[in-house]
Amino acid sequence: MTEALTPQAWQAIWLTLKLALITSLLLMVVATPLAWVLSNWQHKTKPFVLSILALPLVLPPTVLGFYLLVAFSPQSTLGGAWVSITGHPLAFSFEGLVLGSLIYSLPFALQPLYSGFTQLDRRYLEVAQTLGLTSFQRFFKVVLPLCKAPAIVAFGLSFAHTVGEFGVVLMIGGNIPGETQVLSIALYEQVEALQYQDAHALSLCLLIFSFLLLTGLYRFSGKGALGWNLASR
Amino acid sequence: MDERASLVVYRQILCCVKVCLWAFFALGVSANVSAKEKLRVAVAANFAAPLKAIAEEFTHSTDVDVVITVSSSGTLFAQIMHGAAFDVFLSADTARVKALIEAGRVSTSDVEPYAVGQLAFVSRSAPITVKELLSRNNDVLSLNSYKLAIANPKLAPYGEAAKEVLEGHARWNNMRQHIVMGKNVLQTYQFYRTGNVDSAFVAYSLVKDEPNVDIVSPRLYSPIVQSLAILIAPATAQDTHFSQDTHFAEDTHKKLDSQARQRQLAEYFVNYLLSKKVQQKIEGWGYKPVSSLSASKE
Repeated sequence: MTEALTPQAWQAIWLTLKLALITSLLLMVVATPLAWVLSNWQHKTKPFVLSILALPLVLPPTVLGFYLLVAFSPQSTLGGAWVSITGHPLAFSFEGLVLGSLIYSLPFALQPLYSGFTQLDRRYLEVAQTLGLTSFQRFFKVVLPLCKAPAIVAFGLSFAHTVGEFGVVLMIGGNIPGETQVLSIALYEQVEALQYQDAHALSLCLLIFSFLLLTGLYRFSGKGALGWNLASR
Repeated sequence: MDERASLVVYRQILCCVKVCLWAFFALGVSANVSAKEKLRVAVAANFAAPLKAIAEEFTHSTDVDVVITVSSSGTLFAQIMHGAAFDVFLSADTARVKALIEAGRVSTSDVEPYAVGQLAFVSRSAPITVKELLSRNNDVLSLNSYKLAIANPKLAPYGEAAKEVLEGHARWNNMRQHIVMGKNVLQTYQFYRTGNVDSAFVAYSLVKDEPNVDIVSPRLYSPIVQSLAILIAPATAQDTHFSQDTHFAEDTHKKLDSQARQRQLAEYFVNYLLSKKVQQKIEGWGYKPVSSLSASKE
């Protein structure tokens, strides 16, 4: 298998894993407090906020990619600010991909956490409050340990989803080896260039990897959800 | 009272449904009546706009509908190799068409060049021209933020030509960090249009109406010959002899007839595309006619 993959393919695999890891770690930092706030928030505008956050789930990646491309342009506010701070444009850079992936995979991190938090038995929190724990302590000592399973599912799903990202990267990446040429783009290039043998090898790798990751997640979420249910009773 | 009201609503709904059904039926019938003969053409993205105009005129004069599928040459090649039902394939290059010959999908006689592409350089800041870009004392190379978009040389002939221009002046390696690649020439142009790159090498046909367009001298790159292939094989009588079953033979015969007719349409369309009239128009869309190839050879 090692011989079947070109050095360029290995570079793409490494880059993809790096992107997926950074994205899903950052997403956990962003999505966990966001999901907690949302699960405790009641307001008539809530459906609108939830829809906005779920949009990347249903929007074609090309739409997202197009908006990002326009926003990344040095003539726009975001793109212009980025150029003046870092000295290079946001589009066609690894940082640009991370930003794009954060938006693209946000619902995949947010939704498991949100449903985990809403299903949480509030009596634990009330007990914790009577014991004198601050809201900060309650979150870290009660909520998070109880929601380990949804958190791991959220991490795994956003990781897997970022690995499989194609449309957005195609539009904002610019296909630079080692910088923005992720697995799916390298694969696309091989198929387009009629290098079907290389494409087969890389596709198979991606297939096996995604399958293993999902199997692990399902096994874990099955067990985890069960344990969580038992604990809440 | 309530019951009566709901009955009225129910009747209204039923009426609406009936009208809808009739409308669908009528549409279906009219669609059937107007069923014209169809020619399915697969075209590389860069030639889509001219093809649409050409096809419109073709339909106008022959009453044959031209169904156009636009994609990149590589995708179309893969689709054709896996049985996509196109009658004519207009590739952005000659390599993909040659690959079809090598795979035994088309015969050599069914392949012909139909247009010659011109490479153009667009830029919104210095360097404005190719000459400036290639000159020794060009200071954009020291700028970190300078980005130049080209189409992926592995996939797109315009990208290959751009690479050749840069390599010819030993610029490929020191430009490498400034180069961004689009999957095809359209995406490359999109990078430029959305303001994400400073300059781009694209097809002249895409930018002929823009300011600051520099047509790259054809001496700097090998000609971008765009070739077509007729995908529908001429019907041969020998296909029929293997069956004694009259019913089957009849079927085969019918199929052969329609194949022969489809082939005729495809040939007719290709002849139209290569006719002097259309070839002259091709220049207006930013291409060079096929005849320019033999002229430059002599």
